[in-house]
Amino acid sequence: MGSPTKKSASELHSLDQQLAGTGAVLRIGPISTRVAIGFPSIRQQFLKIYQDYCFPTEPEIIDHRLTVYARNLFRRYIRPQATINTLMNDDFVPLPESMGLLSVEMGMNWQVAFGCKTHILFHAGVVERDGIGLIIPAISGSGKSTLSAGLSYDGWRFFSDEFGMLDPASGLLYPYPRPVSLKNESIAVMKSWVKDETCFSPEYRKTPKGTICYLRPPVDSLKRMDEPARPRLVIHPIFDPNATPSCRRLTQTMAFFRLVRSSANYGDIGEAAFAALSQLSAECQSYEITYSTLEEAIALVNQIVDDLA
Amino acid sequence: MTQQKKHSLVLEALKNPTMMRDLDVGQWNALLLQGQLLKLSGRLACDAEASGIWDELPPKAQQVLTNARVSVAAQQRKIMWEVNRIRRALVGFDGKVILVKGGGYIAGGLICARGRHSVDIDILVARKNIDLVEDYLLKAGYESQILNEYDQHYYRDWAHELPPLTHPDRMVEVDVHHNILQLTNKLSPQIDLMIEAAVPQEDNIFVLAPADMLLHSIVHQFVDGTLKGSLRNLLEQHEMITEFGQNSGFWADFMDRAEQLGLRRPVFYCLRYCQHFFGTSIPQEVLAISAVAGPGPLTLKMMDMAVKNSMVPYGEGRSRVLDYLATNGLYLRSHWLRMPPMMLFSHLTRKSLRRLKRA
Repeated sequence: MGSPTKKSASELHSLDQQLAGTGAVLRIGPISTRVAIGFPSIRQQFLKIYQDYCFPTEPEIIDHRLTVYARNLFRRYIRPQATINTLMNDDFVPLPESMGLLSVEMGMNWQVAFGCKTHILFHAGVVERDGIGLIIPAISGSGKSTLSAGLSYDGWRFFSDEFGMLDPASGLLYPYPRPVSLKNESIAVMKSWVKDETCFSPEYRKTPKGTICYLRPPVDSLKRMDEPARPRLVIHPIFDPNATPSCRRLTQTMAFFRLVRSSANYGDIGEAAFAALSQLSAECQSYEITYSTLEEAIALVNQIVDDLA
Repeated sequence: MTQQKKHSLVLEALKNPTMMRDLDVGQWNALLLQGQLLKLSGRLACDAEASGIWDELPPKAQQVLTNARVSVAAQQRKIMWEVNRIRRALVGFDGKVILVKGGGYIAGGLICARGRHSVDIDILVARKNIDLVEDYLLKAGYESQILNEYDQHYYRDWAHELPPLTHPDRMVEVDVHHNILQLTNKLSPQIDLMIEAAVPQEDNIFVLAPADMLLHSIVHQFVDGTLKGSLRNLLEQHEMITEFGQNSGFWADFMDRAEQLGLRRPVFYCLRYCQHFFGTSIPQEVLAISAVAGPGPLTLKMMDMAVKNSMVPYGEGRSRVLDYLATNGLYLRSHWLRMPPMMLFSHLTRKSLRRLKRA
């Protein structure tokens, strides 16, 4: 149960009981979170998506504590509503129980986005193949989740679709392979790409961001979640349904500023982050690609990688 | 390990940082949680570094403490940059601008600023200047965050500060005060004396004189604030006492000032609980003078219980009812001191109605 592998029915049952009680410790890459969930339906969805993850059996020092609970009996049974407590100055509006995993994922995102200062965080997808670390920074809606998930189910190793993590001391990227958060049109795209319905959570409709569905990363990416990679490429995707695919190289200066802009904690880390990003933008090649389908985007990425070799 | 021991871990670590070398995983989790809840993690991180034991800590503890250390360093950098911006915004204003609380400790380079969690800036100006200072800040691009008419009225007419201002480029909250307690508070002191004694820092930026700085912290904790989880305020008082107490003449100034401003009761509490929690070294004659200002035995017993229960987060297995009474009793106490009964009644009614309407 301690390592990221398939779990037996009795192991899952034991995890469910921990989640219902004082919490189960979930370790993903460098971050351990104690998660407690007061709703059986949300626990069930959580364990379906996280069943192959690492739940350490030995006690360990934890980074965060997340509780998803009902504030009272009315909010538990009559109009069930999940309140999120991250212990980190959050101010979340409680979500209906029917939005399930959304509350857990929002809480964990918040804890990482505001709590992590040991690694430089990029709002970016990260994948790796043949020792080439690829950073895909982007604003929401540009397709970075879809592209990083698409690549992960096409021979690349999945690091994250949302939080790129760079260790400023070593200059290496560290995996943080949380479930992929897919929105709206990208859900159908990924379902036909992955061709295995069991990897997906239920679809949550009418959330603040439209319809949301979570996709479990490939098991191999989870097993190798402690193996870092050296960044070699940065690709900024732009999704445009009417575009013909194209690719532009960015200058080192532009690459630097784009990375600064995509980082959540650059200013907090300060000088060490400046040095690490200077080095990264000097050592990586940076591109901007425009695409209209996932196939086009992946073809563009592969072409850039081939040229690199 | 007993619950009692877990409960006092944070105190032990603050008093003797080297004990962090010997913690097991369960103790680390208890300590780091208390640190987080009490906003003392940054402080624990700095203490671990300063005492030379950093390299002996488990890597995972280093990771959690590094997050805290980097956060507080960034906060303090933002605070000092905001002070720089305020100074620029107030060019031409020739009154005193006094940095109080965290900003004052950081600017003054006090020991208690080390690793201190600080997110807002509080400045104090003479009441006659407050509209002028507001004009300067608004002209420099600061904006009021509070637009509701009742709240504006509450701040301006009854409170001791302007509605909070922030500059949209930086979003650090700046609170401009003209007193250290609400005007409606029975203990609202003669602030002019404090403004007059303030010590210059740079241009027209000042900090409070040592005795006043300590008194302000005491007032903030024992008169105005809620005591729940306020260990870090007591810690800063302990450190100010230790730091300022080195200077001959400090105690005489301080006790005179407490007398002059009518703050002898809160000072009594401060000295009592600093000694209780941190074993602060305080001259015998000071304690003897201070003891006269203490409350009657029954009140003191209740206050002891309330403070001891609410200062550090609850250990498991303690009475929830007692904790609830202790902390909420103190909340009511702070409101009771803050305004006369009828005003309190109307204020709380209005707030409750507003909450109901929103739901």
